[in-house]
Amino acid sequence: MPPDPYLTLTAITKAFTPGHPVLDNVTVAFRRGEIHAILGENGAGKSTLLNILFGMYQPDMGGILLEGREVIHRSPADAIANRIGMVHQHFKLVPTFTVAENLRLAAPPAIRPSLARNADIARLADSFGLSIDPKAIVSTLPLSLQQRVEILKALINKAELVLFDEPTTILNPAEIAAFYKVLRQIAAAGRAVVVVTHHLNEVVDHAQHASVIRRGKLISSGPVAGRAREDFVRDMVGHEVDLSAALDGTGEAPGAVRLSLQNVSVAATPSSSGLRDTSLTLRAGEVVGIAGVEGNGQRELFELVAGALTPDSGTVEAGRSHADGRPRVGLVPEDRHQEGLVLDLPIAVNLLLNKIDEAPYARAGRLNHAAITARAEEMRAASDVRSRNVHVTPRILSGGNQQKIVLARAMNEDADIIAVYQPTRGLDVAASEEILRRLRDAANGGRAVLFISSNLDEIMRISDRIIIFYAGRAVGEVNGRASREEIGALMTGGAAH
Amino acid sequence: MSFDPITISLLLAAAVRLSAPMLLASLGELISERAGVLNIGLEGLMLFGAFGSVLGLQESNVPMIGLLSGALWGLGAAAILALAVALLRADQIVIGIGFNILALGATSLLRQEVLNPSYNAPSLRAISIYRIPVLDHWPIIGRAFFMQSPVFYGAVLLAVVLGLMLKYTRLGLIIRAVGEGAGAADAAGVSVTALRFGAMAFTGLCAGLGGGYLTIVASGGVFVDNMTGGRGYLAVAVVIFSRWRPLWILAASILFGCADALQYQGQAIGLSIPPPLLLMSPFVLALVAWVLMGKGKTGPGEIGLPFLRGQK
Ligand SMILES: Nc1ncnc2c1ncn2[C@@H]1O[C@H](COP(=O)(O)OP(=O)(O)OP(=O)(O)O)[C@@H](O)[C@H]1O
Ligand SMILES: [Mg+2]
Repeated sequence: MPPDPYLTLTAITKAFTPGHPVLDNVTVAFRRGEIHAILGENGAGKSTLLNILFGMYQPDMGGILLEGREVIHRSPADAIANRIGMVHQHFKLVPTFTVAENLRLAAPPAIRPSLARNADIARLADSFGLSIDPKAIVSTLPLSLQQRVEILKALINKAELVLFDEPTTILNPAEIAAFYKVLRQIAAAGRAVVVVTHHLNEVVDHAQHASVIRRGKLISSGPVAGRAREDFVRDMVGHEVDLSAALDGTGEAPGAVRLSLQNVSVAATPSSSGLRDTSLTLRAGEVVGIAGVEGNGQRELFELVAGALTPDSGTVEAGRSHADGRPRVGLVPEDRHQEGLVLDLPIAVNLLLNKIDEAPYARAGRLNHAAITARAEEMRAASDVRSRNVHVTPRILSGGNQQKIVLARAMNEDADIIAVYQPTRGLDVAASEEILRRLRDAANGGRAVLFISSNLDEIMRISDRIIIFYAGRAVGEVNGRASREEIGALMTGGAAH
Repeated sequence: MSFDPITISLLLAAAVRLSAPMLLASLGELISERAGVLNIGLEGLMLFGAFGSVLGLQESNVPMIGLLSGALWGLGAAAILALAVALLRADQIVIGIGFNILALGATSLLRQEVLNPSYNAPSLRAISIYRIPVLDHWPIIGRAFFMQSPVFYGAVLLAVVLGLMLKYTRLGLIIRAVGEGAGAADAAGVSVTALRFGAMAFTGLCAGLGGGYLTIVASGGVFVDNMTGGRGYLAVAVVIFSRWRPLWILAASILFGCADALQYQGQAIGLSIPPPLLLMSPFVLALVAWVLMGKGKTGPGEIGLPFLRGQK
């Protein structure tokens, strides 16, 4: 007989537009001592459910029972008063504040004295295995470190129920392991944990209970023990998805050089090693994976390829360039909100942002909205972006659907090269597979793909060659069949052999 | 034109005297802006304060109560403004400008209806000048800085306190958070609406007091229509030019005070620069300084944006 739930969401229904419920009569119960995973496709309503619990939205129907008594969360302040903490999918950090200021801002009165000095904060962060420089300004940190800060915020506050909305999207394997170790400690201390994730391994390995939502409806909720990844996928999508389909190349030797970086260097910053005299070539028909712990030059590499950065020394040469000299590349930047999307312009414009000044979308300085809409609708259907139409803004879409827009635009770019940075960040399993498939097909069709990611499994599955970055240098190159251990050793600066 | 120490000392004293309304209004505006509200209605708030203080003075015959009444009128007017901006999330610029026009008409009408045009003010000396012993005998700057209205000393103290508050206290942290990342502050359990309302109310209090100073200390207790003459708008600019730092606001206000003082006393010392040019000069200086400093801090990140929860 399981213990009584600590908190129950009862019969939650929510519609942002009348007649289209995002959540439909969802009831889930969270127990002390348990890690409870919530699964579902992009746009299934997972974030909305947690946001309702945290007081960000009000449900149309249904309510919250805390230890059997009805509570109402009108704002996050109410949820915090009921000892609930949340890690948001799109981080709730003040960009111009230091890490320390952000942590202090979010701390309840009882915790504040322990955050008074920066040294205390650094020590606390270390104790969670998520080291961070308290003095760093958040906006200058790479996204993976920002994610650490967002997680630390919740861990430090010692809430009784902690909600994590996709906390591990861009953490590396070591960080993920450290993170779940902390979650197990929290659960063992008799507190309750809820995790939304698309990484099914994490669920099978660490969660005790899992609930699956599909298009707003609760499909299943029960113990994880005895269930396999495939079972969850079936509940999530409604049909089988092959999670280990081969992503093989054509077998032919790669073609002409499409992009070549020769001895490039970029100055280091507090959160990154920069690049140090690194060379790299990318040929037609191959996927080159870049593995490494975040902050070892990946961002600089991406920005060089995007033409957003000029190297301090060395050259970047692309087969084809824009008029202003930037390499012609289809780009998927890491931070979709800051760099990938104009959140308040319609989806149609976002999809065609890189072509909006060309015929047939613009003629003599006038936009042709009919052509834009028609093409955007095509792209939306092909990429399965779930929105009512292409005239709404990306702001109201779920995170995964926002990401699909960025990808669709990159694939649509008239370029021989595609450079992606964390391309499956926040995508559900089916969508991730689809993206990997499409990137592989693009390479097999003769394009060159640069695949930068913190997800080693994906890199290993899709890449023809894997280049490992450490301290701003390509320290090793292995083929797609190398072992995790070999790559892992290189990533932490160990020798290849 | 004569540049003897006495003239300069007098001129400086007048400059500092005239800087106080600007200083008070800017300090108030600073808190609004740090909390993410671009409070263009500052001009109107000062005007209401100016009117309110004369009304208070005429009713009570006590200068101190006049000033207090000015501050309260500013506060009341700010509450109306904050209702629209913080609570109903109306456009801050549009509402602010509309509010200023309203203030101009309303105070003019009220002046005709309720103020006594032939009112004789009591002595305003106590509230206008307080000598700080010993220091007021310093050459040149003694008169300027240590023979001023107690309100001016209060305003200087306020600048220091606000600076420390923003930097070192939790309230300061929260105010800055609301201006730089309202979503993050909200998720941390801060009521963005309440905080912005409070910030705007504080602005009203300061601007109202600034308006009161303008009538009671600087103009002998007389209210004339549109007597703020754009000082509210200038104060908004002062905050931006000072890059949201209280001590710089103090310096910038005195600079504007100099321009103001030269406007009145320039002729007396034989300076023949047209007044509009004088009023413009601090801005030109500030612009030059700004360009030379290069781009650094650009102000609260979410200034001017209404906060709606649940936006990603
Ligand atoms: N503020 C909003 N206004 C209108 N629609 C919204 C809003 N927020 C979310 N939605 C819609 O609600 C649905 C569910 O979104 P939600 O963010 O809960 O999905 P999710 O399960 O978290 O997906 P993901 O895995 O991609 O993060 C989506 O179709 C989304 O477009
Ligand atoms: Mg989500």
